[in-house]
Amino acid sequence: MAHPSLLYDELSAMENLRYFGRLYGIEGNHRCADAIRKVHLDPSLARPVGQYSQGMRQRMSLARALLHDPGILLLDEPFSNVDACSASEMVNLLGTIRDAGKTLFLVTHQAALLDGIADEFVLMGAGKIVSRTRERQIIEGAPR
Amino acid sequence: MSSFWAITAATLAKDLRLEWRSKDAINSMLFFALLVVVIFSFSFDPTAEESRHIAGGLIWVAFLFAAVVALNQTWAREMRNAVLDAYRVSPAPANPLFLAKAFGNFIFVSIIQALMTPLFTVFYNLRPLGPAWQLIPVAILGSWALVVNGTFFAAMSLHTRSREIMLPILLFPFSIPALVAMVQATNTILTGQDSAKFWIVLLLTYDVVFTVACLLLFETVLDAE
Repeated sequence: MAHPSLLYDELSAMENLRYFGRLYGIEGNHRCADAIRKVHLDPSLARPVGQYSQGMRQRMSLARALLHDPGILLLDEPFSNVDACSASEMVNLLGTIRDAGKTLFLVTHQAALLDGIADEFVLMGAGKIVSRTRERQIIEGAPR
Repeated sequence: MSSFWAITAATLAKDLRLEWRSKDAINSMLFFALLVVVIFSFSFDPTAEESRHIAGGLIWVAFLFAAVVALNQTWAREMRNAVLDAYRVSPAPANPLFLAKAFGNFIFVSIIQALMTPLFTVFYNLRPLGPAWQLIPVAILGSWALVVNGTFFAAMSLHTRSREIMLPILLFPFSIPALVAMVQATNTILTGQDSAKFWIVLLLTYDVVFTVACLLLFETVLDAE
C-alpha cells in the first residue's frame, strides 16, 4: 500500500478490485467483496472511489493490497491526511490483519497510533536506524 | 496464454469504461478533427476534382493529430494515483497492458473515423472513382499503424517532463512511411487512377513489423524509470 491510492478514481470499489483481481488471476466477485468488507466498506456502493473520503480511500487501498492474500504487507503512511477517527479505525483494522497472521511493515510519522499494535518500533533518522525497540521510545526531535 | 488474453480483455474493458465515463479522449479527438475539416474546407474551398487529390493527405493528417490527443490521455490515466505501479508490482505480464491500450486507442480512432468520414464526404464533395471497398482495409491498417507506434511512444515518453511534446517528436518520424502509404492508397482509390494494392501491402508489412517490435520492447519501456 503506497502513499497514492493506486486506485482508479472513476471506478467503483468493486470495479477497481475486479480489475486488479484479474491481474492476480482472481475470478469472480466473491473475493473482491470479501476484501472490501474486511476494511469495513460496502461492496455494493456504486459511487466512484474518487468521491470517497480520504479515510475510505485509504481503507480501499488496503483492500486492494489484501485482495491477493499476501503474506507480508508493506504500508507507506496509511494514516496520512485522515482524521483521528479514521486513523483509529485503520489501526484497529491493522490489528485484525496482524492477528490473522500477516506480517505488517509500516512506515509512519504517527508512530504513537501504533502503541499496543506494533511488535517492534524501528526509529530512523537521516536514513539510518536510530533505535530498535519493543516499546516506542520518545526521542527529542524525533517523530512521535 | 488464456490469462494473457483475460488480462488484455480486462484492461481493455476497464479503459473503455473509464472513457465512457469521462469521454476525455473522444471529445478532444472529435473536436480537433472537426476543426481541421471545417477550417480547411473554408480556407481552400476545393472543387470535387481537387478534393480527390488532397483529401487523402488531409484526412490522415487530421486523424494523426487527433490520435495524438487520445494517445496522451491513455497513459495519463495510469499515472494518476500511480495505478501503473499497481500493475507493475502484479504478476501480470507487460504485453497485455500494451495490447489493451493499443486496441482501446484503435477503437477510439475508429469511432472518430466513423463520425468524421460522412463530414469529409460532404465538406469536400468526395466520391471515390476507384474501388471504394478498399478504403476499409486502408482505414483499418492505417489506424493500427498510428495507434500501435503511438501507444508505444506514449509509454516511452511517460516519465519525461514534457510528454505532450515528446510524443509527436518521437512518433511522427516513425509514422512517415505509414502516412505516405495511407495517403497514397486513399488518393489512388479516390482518383481511381491506379491500383492501391501496393500501398495496402506496404501498410500491412509496416503494421506487422512495428507490432512485433513494440511487443518485444514494451516490457523494457514499462520497467524503465
